[in-house]
Amino acid sequence: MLILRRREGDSILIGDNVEIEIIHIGANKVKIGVRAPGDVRVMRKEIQAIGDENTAAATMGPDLRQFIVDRLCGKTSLNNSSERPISPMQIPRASRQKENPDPARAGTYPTTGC
Amino acid sequence: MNSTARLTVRSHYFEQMDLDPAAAFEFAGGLPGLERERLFAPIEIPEQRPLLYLQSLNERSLCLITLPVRAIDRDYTLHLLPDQLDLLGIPRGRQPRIGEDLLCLAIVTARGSGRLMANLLAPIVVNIRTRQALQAIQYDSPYDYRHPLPAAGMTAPC
Repeated sequence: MLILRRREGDSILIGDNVEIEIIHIGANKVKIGVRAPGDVRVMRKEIQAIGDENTAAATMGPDLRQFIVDRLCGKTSLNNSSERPISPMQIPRASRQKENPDPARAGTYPTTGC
Repeated sequence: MNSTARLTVRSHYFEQMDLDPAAAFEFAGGLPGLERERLFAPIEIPEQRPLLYLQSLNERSLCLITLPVRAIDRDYTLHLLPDQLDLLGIPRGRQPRIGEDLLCLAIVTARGSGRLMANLLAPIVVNIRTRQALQAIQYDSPYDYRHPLPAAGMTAPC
């Protein structure tokens, strides 16, 4: 890893089109400005980890889903009171779950089409 | 368009059901990793409370399992940045309250190893009145995106 020392107002250039400027240095935070073309994706690294986590959560297979339900449903260690609805808004209720979610397709995210 | 038109929710996990379009949660900015998914149907199965499912209306194989953050951590505190408030359609100036203004949900995941985790770092936040929603990353918080959930067995049958 290349390590550089920079002061407030200093910049770093990456390639021909990306500039990173140190806007402000605080006690334990640094404010950074990034100047880059629109097709260069810039994001906090945590967002990438959260995106990976979201994709994994949304595409869990039937076995893992059942495991969650078995472990959490009716569990008193959760702060769940049946007297108090979790939400003051109307939430649609499913009459029932599929007995056998199509195992070939459930939990798989299509890579083509939308 | 007929204001009473119903949406059909198709899911790999639930029997087909109709939904009042106004009941859907709208993520105008998408979700990290699921950028194409803008509309999710909240689905509750009474025996499985407090679990709440969020089924994508665009892709039937995508369904998140969530828990209210306060079911996991009674003292959970949420801080929303001005641009997050804007996306939720909530006036800046005061922090909205979980349960009064907002629904605040943690996405739950399970690993093959048997570990259960909840994402407390990036909860799903929904404006209760308008159903505008976003995943509100809590940048300067102590919360973890892989918060372990209790491992003890069930205490009551579903």
